[in-house]
Amino acid sequence: MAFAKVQVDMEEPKTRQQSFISWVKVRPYAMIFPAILVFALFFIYPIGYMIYLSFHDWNFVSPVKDFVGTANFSYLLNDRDFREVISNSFIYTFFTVALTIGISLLLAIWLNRSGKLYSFMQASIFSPHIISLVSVSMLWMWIMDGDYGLLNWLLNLIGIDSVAWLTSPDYALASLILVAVWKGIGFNTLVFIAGLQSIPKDLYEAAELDHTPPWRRFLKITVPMLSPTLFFLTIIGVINSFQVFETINLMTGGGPINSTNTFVYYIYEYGFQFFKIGYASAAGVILLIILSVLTLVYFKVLSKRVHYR
Amino acid sequence: MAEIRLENISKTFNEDCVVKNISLTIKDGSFTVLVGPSGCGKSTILRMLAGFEQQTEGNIWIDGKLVNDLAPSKRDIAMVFQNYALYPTMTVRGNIEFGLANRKVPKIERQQLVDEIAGIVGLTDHLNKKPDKLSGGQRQRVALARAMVKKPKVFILDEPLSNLDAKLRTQMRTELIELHERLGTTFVYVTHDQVEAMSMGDEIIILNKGEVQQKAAPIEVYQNPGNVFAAEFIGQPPMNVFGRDAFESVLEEVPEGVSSIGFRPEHAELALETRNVPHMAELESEIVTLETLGAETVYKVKNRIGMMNIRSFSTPIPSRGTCYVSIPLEKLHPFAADGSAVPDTDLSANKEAVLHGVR
Amino acid sequence: MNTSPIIKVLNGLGLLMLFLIFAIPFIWMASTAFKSLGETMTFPPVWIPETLQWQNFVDAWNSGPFLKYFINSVVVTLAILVLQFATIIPAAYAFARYQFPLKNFFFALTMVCLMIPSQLIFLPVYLNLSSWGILDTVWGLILPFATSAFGIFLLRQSFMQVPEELLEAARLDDATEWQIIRKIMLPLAKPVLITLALFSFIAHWNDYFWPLVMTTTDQARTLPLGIAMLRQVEGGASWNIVMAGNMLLVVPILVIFFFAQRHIIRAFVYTGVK
Repeated sequence: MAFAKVQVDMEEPKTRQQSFISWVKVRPYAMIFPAILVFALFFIYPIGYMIYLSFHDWNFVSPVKDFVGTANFSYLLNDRDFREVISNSFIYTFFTVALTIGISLLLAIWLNRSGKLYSFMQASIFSPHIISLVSVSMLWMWIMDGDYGLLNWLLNLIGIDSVAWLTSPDYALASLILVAVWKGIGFNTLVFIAGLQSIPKDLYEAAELDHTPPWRRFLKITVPMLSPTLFFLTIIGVINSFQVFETINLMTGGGPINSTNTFVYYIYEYGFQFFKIGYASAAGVILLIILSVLTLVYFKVLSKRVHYR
Repeated sequence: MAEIRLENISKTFNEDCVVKNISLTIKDGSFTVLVGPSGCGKSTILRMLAGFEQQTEGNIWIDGKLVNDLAPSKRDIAMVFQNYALYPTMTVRGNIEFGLANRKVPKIERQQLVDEIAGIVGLTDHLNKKPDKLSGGQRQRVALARAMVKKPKVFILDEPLSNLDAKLRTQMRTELIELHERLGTTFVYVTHDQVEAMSMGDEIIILNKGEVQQKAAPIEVYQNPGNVFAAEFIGQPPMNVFGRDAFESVLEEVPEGVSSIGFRPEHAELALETRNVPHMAELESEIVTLETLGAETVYKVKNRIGMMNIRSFSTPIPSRGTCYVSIPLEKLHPFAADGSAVPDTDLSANKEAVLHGVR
Repeated sequence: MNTSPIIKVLNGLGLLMLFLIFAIPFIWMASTAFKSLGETMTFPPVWIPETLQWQNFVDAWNSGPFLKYFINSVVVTLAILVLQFATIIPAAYAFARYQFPLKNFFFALTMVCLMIPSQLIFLPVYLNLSSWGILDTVWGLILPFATSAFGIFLLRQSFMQVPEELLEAARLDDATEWQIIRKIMLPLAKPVLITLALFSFIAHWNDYFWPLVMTTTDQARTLPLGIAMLRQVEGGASWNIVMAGNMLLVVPILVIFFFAQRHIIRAFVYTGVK
């Protein structure tokens, strides 16, 4: 270990002062170096490289990368597929986040009770969150199977015709949203429950002494006190939904007819199947900008909130 | 055992000078108390002594050795921290022997030392407990034992009793004094509590705003405060100090160079009737409030000098009306314009010239 | 509060419904995994197969080099765990406990990396890994995750809560910085370390995206990839085999979840990311 060095130096009175002091100065850098190296190699440098590539035309094999200015960006913005990708991403994100958060909030209020039954329920709805997305995707592909799937059987039981969940451009995106909501509800509910439990009980007691009716207590105490949690979950949800990849890759492959193609999948396709590194990188840069704005908004609001407290 | 010498020590934090050019010597084997209000620099001095903080200027000598650049562990000191700083994940034994183990003291010897020290501080039955299972007093003892086991040249104690309740604090005070006598090691003790300082130290260093106000034995500090700050800091309630003007109406002659005069609340006497005792200045006064403490009573009275505290050990006076306060002239402490005591001015010299407290 | 029996019954029914929404998919998975191929293709579906087809699991396992996938998964996950702890602990300690020039810059850098998802940078990383010649090796799956910005952030918080006095006491006790970390800081940070380990283990054991992008042959593929490829075997999805394969992936995690439920929920809820 690097720390042993100090001990050794201590033994020699002559050089002790000198080397002790210089090692003390270097030590913090030595301790953060491995982590910073990994960040530099696998996070910072790639971001820079991606930005660089977004201004070039390259097919991955050719030794030359042609500088093309903003041509990649103008191509993308004029590309009908890419515009669909953007609208798909926004639709997917909006509905996934709105549904997940809405349902989770209701579930949190319902399930925020002590006792074995309720902690069992909490664990149950949380379980999809720790399962690999591979299994979630394949399980739901099977459940949504057009011919022998469970979901169509249930629909038939209540007298509704079978639906082509994943194979019809009208339903495929909605099906993916359904899976995302199913997977995300448990996590969101538990975060809401944690938020509910952090509201001081005496607020409710004070309100009760003032004869505040329950719905007013909910609106005037629960909602405002929960708003940081709500905000946090919304931002995290939006950021994560924008990056959706696994379910699309496994369940629909972006189709049918591009109806479920989203950002990351588009980058993946352009980079790894069409070898259009420039386009893929430009799409990556656009995603980077969207995510950066969201993150900045998050920290802006967060710091304001902390300030007002 | 060691003498500690601070030589022109200054400490500046971001332009803010918290210790200003202090030089002092802490005697070998003494129990020296650094006392002062918060922000007076006492903790900073302590931390520089221990080596946690580097002085901006000056030299520190411990046992004749210049320790300016020595790491804390090489200074041969041990410290008892305000919040004990016990290692929460180790047992009492682990806490006490941690330093020994780090110094590669053989296991058997370590065990002997720990057992011995534990016996002295009365922890033998608790050696295998974790600190969170101990009471405040026991934790304090673990902290002491951990310091003692290293057999340091200097003990540094940073407000070690401030987290204990009043009763335990009194008891631990006595134990610490006994411990000091038994070990004979130099103790440097920091506190903001003047009672602790008076009762424990054989030398007190009063600090304010980064400067030494007075360094003397407790009784000397009490009897001959070096300046107004020391006079007002030691004693409960503090010394009554008034400007020269206030006393000019009482004393016939206030010598040149005296700008304020003080006297201790317990040295004045209070009576319901005028007594006209010689060598005392008598003032007709009005009792404003009184605190009955049992053995003593503290009155706040108003007279033509101003508002003052009088501490009396005789039976409390029940009424709040007029009374007479007599101040013995030889107990008056004159101070110069810079606040320092004016040593050779005997105000009782003009005893015959005292104007009595008649309006 | 006294609730009427009707409300109680409705509440109970509601809970049962909710439970089924989350349990039925798993039950369906298990049921399918034991069916014969014929039984998967009946409509309406059967829930309990006539005979339990244990053979499905063997078939799933033998449909590809699953031993290799499994070993790769174990190697990758464990290596990431070990490397993350080795890099996180000193970095978190330095950020929490030392003052040094450019500290704020490096910490801000760490926070930026906390915000960068792998889905954003996989393409340039892929290009880099390929030029360094470690594409399609386990190193390509391990090294980018050799540290964790999130771990540094969390552990730093925990280290910062340790009172300075404790460190000073240890320094007076001749402890080296390494001993301070090992004997004082880490024991105090144990809950956070457990949280991080569980979090990291689950995330990388389950990870499908990164191995998919960074591997091209079986030599570095991991279990989730192998399971995903079951679908492409022999022309069409034999759902009984696919579900049997997925059971292999899901059951171990569910078992761990059952035993370390509280820790895992806390790990995810209080850390909040993904």
